[in-house]
Amino acid sequence: MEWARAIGTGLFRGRGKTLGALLVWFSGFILATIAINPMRRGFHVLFDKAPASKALLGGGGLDMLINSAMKQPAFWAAANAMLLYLVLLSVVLGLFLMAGVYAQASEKSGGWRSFWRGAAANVLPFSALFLFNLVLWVIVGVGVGVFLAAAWHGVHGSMDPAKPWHLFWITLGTGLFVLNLFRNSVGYGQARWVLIGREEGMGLCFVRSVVFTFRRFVPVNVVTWLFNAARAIVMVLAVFILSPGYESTGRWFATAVLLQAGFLVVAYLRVGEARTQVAYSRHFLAPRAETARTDVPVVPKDETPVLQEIGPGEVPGQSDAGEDLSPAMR
Amino acid sequence: MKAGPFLVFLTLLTIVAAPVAAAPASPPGAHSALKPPVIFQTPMSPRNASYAINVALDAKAHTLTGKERVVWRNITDTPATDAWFHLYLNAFANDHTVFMTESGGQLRGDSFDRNHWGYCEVTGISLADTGAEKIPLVQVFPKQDHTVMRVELPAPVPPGGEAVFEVSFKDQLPHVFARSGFAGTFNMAGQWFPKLGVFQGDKGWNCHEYHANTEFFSDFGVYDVSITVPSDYVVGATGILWREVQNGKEKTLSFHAEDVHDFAWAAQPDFVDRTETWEGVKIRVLMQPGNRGSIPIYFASVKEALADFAKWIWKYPYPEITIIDPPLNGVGAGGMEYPTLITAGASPFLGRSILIPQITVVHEFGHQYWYGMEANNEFERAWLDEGINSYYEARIMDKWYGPGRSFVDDLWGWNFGEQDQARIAYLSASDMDPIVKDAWKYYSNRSYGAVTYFKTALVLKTLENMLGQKEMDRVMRAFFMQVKFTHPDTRDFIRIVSEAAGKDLSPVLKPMLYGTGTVDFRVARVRNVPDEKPAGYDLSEGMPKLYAKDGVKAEKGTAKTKAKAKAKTGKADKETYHSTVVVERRGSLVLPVDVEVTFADGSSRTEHWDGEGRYTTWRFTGPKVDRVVADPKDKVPLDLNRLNNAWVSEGNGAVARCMTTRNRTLYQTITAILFNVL
Repeated sequence: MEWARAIGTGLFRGRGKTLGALLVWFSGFILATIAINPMRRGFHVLFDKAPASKALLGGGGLDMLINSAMKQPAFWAAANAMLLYLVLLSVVLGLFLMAGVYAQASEKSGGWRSFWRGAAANVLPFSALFLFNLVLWVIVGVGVGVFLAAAWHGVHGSMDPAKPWHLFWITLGTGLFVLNLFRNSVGYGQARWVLIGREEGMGLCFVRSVVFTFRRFVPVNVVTWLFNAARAIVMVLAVFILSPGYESTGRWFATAVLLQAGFLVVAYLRVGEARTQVAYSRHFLAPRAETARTDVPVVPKDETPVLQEIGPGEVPGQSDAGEDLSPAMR
Repeated sequence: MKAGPFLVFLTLLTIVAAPVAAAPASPPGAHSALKPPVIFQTPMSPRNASYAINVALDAKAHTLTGKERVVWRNITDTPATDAWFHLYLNAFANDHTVFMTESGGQLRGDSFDRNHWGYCEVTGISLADTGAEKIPLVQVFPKQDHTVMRVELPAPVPPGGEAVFEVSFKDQLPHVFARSGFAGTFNMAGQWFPKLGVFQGDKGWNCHEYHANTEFFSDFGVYDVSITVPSDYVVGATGILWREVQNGKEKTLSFHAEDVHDFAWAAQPDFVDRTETWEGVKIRVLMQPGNRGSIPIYFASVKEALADFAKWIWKYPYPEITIIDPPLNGVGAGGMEYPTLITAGASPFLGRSILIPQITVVHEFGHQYWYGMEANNEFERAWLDEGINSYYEARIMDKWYGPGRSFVDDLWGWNFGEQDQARIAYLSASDMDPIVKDAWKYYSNRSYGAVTYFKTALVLKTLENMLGQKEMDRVMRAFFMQVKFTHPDTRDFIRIVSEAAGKDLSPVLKPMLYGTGTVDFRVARVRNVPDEKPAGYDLSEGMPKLYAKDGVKAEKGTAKTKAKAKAKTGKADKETYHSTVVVERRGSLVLPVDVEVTFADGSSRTEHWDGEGRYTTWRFTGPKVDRVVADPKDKVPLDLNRLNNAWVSEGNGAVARCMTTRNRTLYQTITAILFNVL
C-alpha cells in the first residue's frame, strides 16, 4: 500500500503545500479575472438597463443571450478571442508553477525559496517533458480514435437505440483513460526529473517515467483517479449542488465565495497529487535520488517499504527499466 | 453467394403470391358475414375519397404489393374530366426527382441511403364505375417527376357523380428517409399507396409533386385496409383493428378508419406493445425494445395533450391513437403525423431534463386536429397546420412544465422554454419569407421552419396576449369547429377569428401573415427637466419685463453636487420635473404595445401605443421618470430585440455580475484543468 502512504505524504506531510496551493489558486483566479474583465464591462452595458434579462439570473432567458449575440456580435467574438489567450497563458504559467510545486515537494526545506528556485530551474525541462508526452499520446489518441470512429460508423446500421449510448460511454471512458495515461506520464516524468532527472538526462527520464507508469500501472492509476474523483466531487458540489444561485446580491456573493473555495480545494488537491507523485517515485528511486541530490531528505521511516509488499510476479533484481538499484527498497 | 438467384426467385414468388394467398377473399366493402364496425353513426366529413386496400409486405425485400379500390365523389360544381394521383414514393426513385433535387438527400438531419432507392409502380389502373366492365386507363406523368400521375377519364364525372378506380401497385420501400421506408426489420409505410389529389372545381386538381419542404393534402373518406405480414410481426396502423386472420406463416390484419384522409402503418417483429386508455380513447404505444423505459413518457405526453385539446378545442373524436417509436437507424420516420397514428422518437441520450420526446409526442398528437381534422392544404398553406400546432404545443408544454422550462428543465441549472426556442428560431430567419407562402418556395429550409412553425406560433401568442387567453380559446375553438373537415384557407382563418372576436383582426393579422415586416420596440429617449422658475423676459404683460432672479440663483456648485445635496435632503423625489419619454418602433410591422413608466416616487402608469408612426412621445409633469419599459409583460414575442426595451435611471448590475461569475467559473475551470494536466 505504498501508494496510500504516498497520498498521505502528499496531502498532509512536508512543508510548503499550502503555499503551493495558494499560488496555484491565485494564478488561476488572476488569469480568469484578466480574461473576464472585458466581458464584465460588456455584460454591464448589455444587461444593466435591460430588465428583460433578469431571467438569466435563474438559469433561463437564453434568448437574451441570442439577442445580445445578434445585436453585439463583436462583443462575443472578442470575448471568445480571450479564451485563446487564457489557454496560452495558462499553459505557460502552469508549467512554471508545476515546476515550482514538484521542486518544492522534492526538497526538505520546501519554502518560498525552493519553490521559486525550482520553478525557474525546471520550467524548460518540464516544457520539454510535456511536449514529448504530448507527441506520444497524440499518436496513441489518433490510433484509438480510428477504432472508435469505425465503431461509430457501424451505429448507422443498428436498430438498437441504446447502442450509441453505450458507444458514447465507451468513447468517453477511452478518451479519459488515454488522457489519464498522458497525465500519468507527464506527472511521474516531472517527479522523476526533480528527483534524479538531471543525472540521467531528458531522454532517459522521459522513457523511464513512461515505463514506470506502466510497470506500476495499478497504483499509479488508482492514485490519479482518486485525485480526479476528489476534484470532480468538489467542483460538482461548488458549482451545482451547494450553489445558492444569483437571485440577490447576498446569494451572488455566497456563490462567488463558494466557487473560489472550491477552486482553492482543487488547487490544494493538485499540489497534493504532485507531492504524492514525488513521494511515490522517491520510494523507488531513493538510493539514486539521494546520491543525485544532496538536499533530498532521507525517506521517512513510515514511508520505508516492507519486503512483504513485493508482488508474486516481482522478482528482486528486475528493476523498473533498469534504474531500480535496490531490490530491498521495492 | 450461390443462393442469390434462388433467393431472387423466391422473393419474386412471394411478391406475386402474397396478395393471392394471404389477402382476404374480397375487399372489405364487400364483406357480408363480417363487416367492419361503424365508428361514427353520422359522418363527420364529406367522405368523398374512400379506399379499400389489400396489401402484402415482403419483409425481406421490403416491398409492398397491393390492390386498391378508390371510390371518389365529385363534390364540386365542375365536371371532372381526369383524375390525378400522388405516387409519393417515386420521390425516392432516383436523384433527379423534385424531392431529391431540392433536399440534396438531406432532411431533418437524416441522410438518404443511396443504396436503397424506393418507388411506387402502378401496375394497372382501370375505371370500374359501371361495376360490370373495367375500363383500362392510360397513365400520364404531367409534372416534373413521377410523383404525380394523371389518367384521362372516358367520360367526365359530373358534380355529385362518382368514379371507382381499381389500381394495382407495387412499392419498393427505400431505407427510411423523409418519413417512410424500412430500417432492418422496421417498416414504416407512409405515403405508400396511389392516392388522389384534391379536385378543386374550376382550378382543377390540386396535386403537387412531392417537394422536400412540403407535406400533404387530400380528401376525407373511409379506409378499409387489409395488411398481410409475417405472423410474428406487430402492426400499428391508422384506424381500428377489427379482424386478424392467421394464414400459415403469415397473418392478415384488417383496419377500418372513418373520416380520415390518409392511412399509414408500421410493422416490426419486436415492437414492445403497450396499451392504456384515457376517457375512452385507446392509446397504443409500439416501442423499440431498447427504449421501453420511455413508454411512460409517451403515455403521459399523449394524455396531457388529449386533456388540453379536449378543454381548449374539442374532445378527440377517434377511438384510438397509436404511437410508433422508430429505431435508431430509422429516425427519419420519427416525428410525423398520420390520422390516428403518430411517430415519435425517444433516446436514452436525452436524460430527464431535455424534453424532446414529450414535445414530439405533444406536437404530433396536436396534428390530429390541424393536419388531421382541419386538413388544410399543407403544400400551399403549411402554417395552418404546423404553425397553429406549434402554438398549441408550446401552450401544453408551458402548462405542463412551466414557461421558461418547457424545453429544457433544469439541465445543470439552465432552463429553456418553448417560447425561447420559438424566438431564437424566428430570430435566425425573421424576414426572408411571409407565413402565407407555398412551402416549396421558401428561401431555405431554415426559413421555412422559422417562419411556418415558429413565427406563426409567436403571431398566435401575440394574438393571445392581445385578446386574453380565455378569449383566444373561444376564438380558436370557433375557428376549429367551423372549419373541421373542410380544407380551410388563410382567408377563412382571418374571417372566422375576426367574427368570433367581434372585431376586425385583419389589420393586425394580415401584415403578420402575408408580410415579412419585423418589429423592434426601443426606448429611444428619456429626458427629465427640473421645473425651475423662468429666466429672461416675461412677455405676458405687454411690456417685456425681466423675471425676478431669485428662482435661478439658488445654489452654487455643479449640477452633480446639487443633485447629491438634493438627494441627501430627500428633496429630489418631491421636486417637479417636465419629463419626456420617446419610444421608437423599428421595422415595418405595426403592433400595439404597452409602455410602463415608473416615477421617482415609486408610482407608475402604463401607457398604450397603437404602434402607428415610427415613434411616440409622452410628456409628464411631476416626479422624475425613473424607469421606462416597453412591453413589460412580454406581450409581443415577435419583438426582435428585447434588450433595448427599457430605460432605467440607474442600472442593476445583478445580471452582469451573474454572467461574469458564470463565465469566470468557466474560465477558471479551463485554467484549473490545464494546471492539472501540466
